[in-house]
Amino acid sequence: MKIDGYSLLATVNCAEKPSAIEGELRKSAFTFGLGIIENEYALKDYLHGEALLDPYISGADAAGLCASITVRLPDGRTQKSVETPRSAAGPDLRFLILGSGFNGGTIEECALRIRHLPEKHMAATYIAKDLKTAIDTLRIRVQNFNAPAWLRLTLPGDSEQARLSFGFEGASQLCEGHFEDFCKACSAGGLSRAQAPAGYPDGEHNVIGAPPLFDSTDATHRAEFQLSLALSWKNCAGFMLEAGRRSAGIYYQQSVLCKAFHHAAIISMHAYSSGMRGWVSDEARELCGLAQKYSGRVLELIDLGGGNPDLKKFIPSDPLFERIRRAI
Amino acid sequence: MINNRKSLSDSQVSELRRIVGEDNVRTGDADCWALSRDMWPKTVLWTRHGNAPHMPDAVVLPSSTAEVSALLKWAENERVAVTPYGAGSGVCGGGVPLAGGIVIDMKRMNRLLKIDRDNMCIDVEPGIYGERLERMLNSQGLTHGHFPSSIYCSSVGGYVAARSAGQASSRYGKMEDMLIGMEIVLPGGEIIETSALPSSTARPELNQIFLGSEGTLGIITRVRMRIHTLATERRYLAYHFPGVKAGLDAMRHIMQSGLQPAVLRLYDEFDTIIAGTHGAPGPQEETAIVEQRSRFEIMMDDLFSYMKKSSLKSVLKHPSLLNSAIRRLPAKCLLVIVCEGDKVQAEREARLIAGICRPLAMTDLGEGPARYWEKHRYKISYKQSKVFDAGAWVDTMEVAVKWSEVEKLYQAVRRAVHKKVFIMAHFSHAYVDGCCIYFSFSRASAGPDAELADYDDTWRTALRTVHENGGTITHHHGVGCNKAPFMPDEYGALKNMYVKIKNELDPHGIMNPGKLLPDSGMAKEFRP
Repeated sequence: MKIDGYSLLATVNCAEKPSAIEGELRKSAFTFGLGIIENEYALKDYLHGEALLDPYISGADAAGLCASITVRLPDGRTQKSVETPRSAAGPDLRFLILGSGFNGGTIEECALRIRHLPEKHMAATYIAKDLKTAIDTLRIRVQNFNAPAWLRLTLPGDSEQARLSFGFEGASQLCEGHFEDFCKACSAGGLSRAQAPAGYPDGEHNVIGAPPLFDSTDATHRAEFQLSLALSWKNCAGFMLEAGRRSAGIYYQQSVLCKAFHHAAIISMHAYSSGMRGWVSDEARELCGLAQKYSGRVLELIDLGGGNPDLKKFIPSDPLFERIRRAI
Repeated sequence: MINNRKSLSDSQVSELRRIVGEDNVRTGDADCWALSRDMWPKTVLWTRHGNAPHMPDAVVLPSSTAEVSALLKWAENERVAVTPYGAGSGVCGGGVPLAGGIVIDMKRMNRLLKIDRDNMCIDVEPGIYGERLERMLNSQGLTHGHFPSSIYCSSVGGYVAARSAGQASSRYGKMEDMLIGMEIVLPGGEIIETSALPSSTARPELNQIFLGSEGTLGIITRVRMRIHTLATERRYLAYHFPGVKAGLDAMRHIMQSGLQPAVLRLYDEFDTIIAGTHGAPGPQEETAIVEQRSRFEIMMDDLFSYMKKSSLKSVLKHPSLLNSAIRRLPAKCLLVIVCEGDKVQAEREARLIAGICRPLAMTDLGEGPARYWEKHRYKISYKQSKVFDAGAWVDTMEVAVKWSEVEKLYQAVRRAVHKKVFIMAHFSHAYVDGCCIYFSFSRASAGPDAELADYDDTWRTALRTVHENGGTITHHHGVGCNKAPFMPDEYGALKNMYVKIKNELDPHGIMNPGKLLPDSGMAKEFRP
């Protein structure tokens, strides 16, 4: 690994696992913002889109973490994309390889954008009377340059109440300022400060990374697949509530709004079959249909069990992408 | 002298008129000349030499996506070259119809279609000008946050097609950050929409393939982009640093500490004098700055003012002398900073930035220079430079590079073109991992032929040096004709991927031939 601490870039071998890279970076007091990863793949698998990387920075996608990539092309040549912060030199062809499922070539190396380990971490949990109130509060903060480093918004149990946990980090004064702004907005929006769930940090702390996406203490059901989808803010509450209502008779699921962008959010859900495992395909199809109803974009559907059919076939394909994939 | 003009047949012109209406097809010389060029300085030189080498056969003004679709279907069937045209503010020749054919002028498609306050985004047609759109949004307490210096004479379609950046990009991002989705008409007339939702890496991001494609893959007919709540407060800061390196260190620390000022602009020594001369702030601050300047600097200011009025051309015939004189200036570089947001955000950011800058700076200049910069921020771009009136030429080159290579690249470019042109620069559009260097260069050449030769030679030398020093050849002006010869080096072996996409989407090479890559997808009959 080669670290350019001046530009905050680390050139890494993409065959490495992200946690190993993160561990190496932390030895030099840097991080690329990786949360906890289970069933870990190599970094190149995440970058090719075979798996969803969960850097805990709430508004970041994995592609945004790379300043450049070095690709081995199908014809055997190796090419590094220009390593600059931004460019206007034509279409950004890195995006034909990132997320392409190895179609355009294999990513061998990349320049990861890294950060200094934060001086301060602050976290809190709030309860909102309903999901829409929580989502609106979060949305307005994110749209006003006050996005937390990580967030977890969910509907715990059968309650109508929504639980919003979040964390800020960075240079001390900036972290404190942003945290205070966010907490004030929560209070102004009628949310009440609550005790953090088990395993979540609270107040000032020294934990690097975000809490796990899903509550692994619920042992009554076994997760069988994980669905991640992007939704516009307008449709988040509707989808989460309807998915929750549908779950009662067929399966049980946890859904967590875990990433917030300016105009959209990403929701991840674990689904648990309450019946025979053969129902997984039906459930996946149903959830993908529900995503379509809310104009969502299914990003990932991972089979967490064994021996089930390939769930990716339920992700609607994009005809233009298929045309471009064939061309390259 | 009008060159290279082929006429469409009467029946072809009639068909165009049937599609967009009688008044919206222009074939007269004046219209065709006006849209045979953009703001690429080389086109100014062509005009000065009485040349219009790339006239279109017709200018067509559609008013809807359906009309654009019909036009592209017709053009593909007839194998007629198409050059999409926004407001014509491009400075790299992206709007020059190298192969003649039709220019599709998007100015009639200029509506703000929808404001979505929940998702804080808008749907707009591509022909709307940036300044008009900003005014419309401001009236509702909103902003698009995109403030190129060309805002009065540039349009949204052009911003997307060329990956534009505005002066407040450190806070609001560059066009690739602002764009959410778009509608595009492909050659042949097919209408497609890119996804308006984040991809996270699970899918290739098709927005990023059409962004920066400069009309070579299709025509943008609708754009969905971010908007923001209009800032209620601004704070202005300015400092003198003892040289470029100290100023760059301050910029880097600011961005890497998580701060997001709207504006960060560091001027090199000579650009600082220009900014100081023109940018004399409020009366009190002006006195303070003048008192701190050496007699030599004042003399240079006076000389420059004198030159501008009378003998600029003769001085610019000897750029190396001028560059050598500038190198002897006492090092002093101006950093201008604007923070904005609500009161709490703007004040906090200004306080933290001041804490970073003070230990590195020579002088705290107060608010004046930043306020002055803001007042005059759009003064330059939509007017032709007076340097052309003086018989010389001027151009700008905006490149980007990571922090660890910024100073090296800056010095290397200066050295490389030192004898060819008079050169200065400022540093702006700062990110966590690097920034943009915006070079301005000027020269008076010995005659029309020498002028074009000097112009091309300077660009070749400068861009080669940028690549040799780890930079990208453009941060926000795009490629057009001017930088196309350097795209094979920029893309390297990835170039073939673009060529394959181009051949798939535009098999007959009708879309903006000769742009981005010199020959890609350009059928023989269209080669200039």
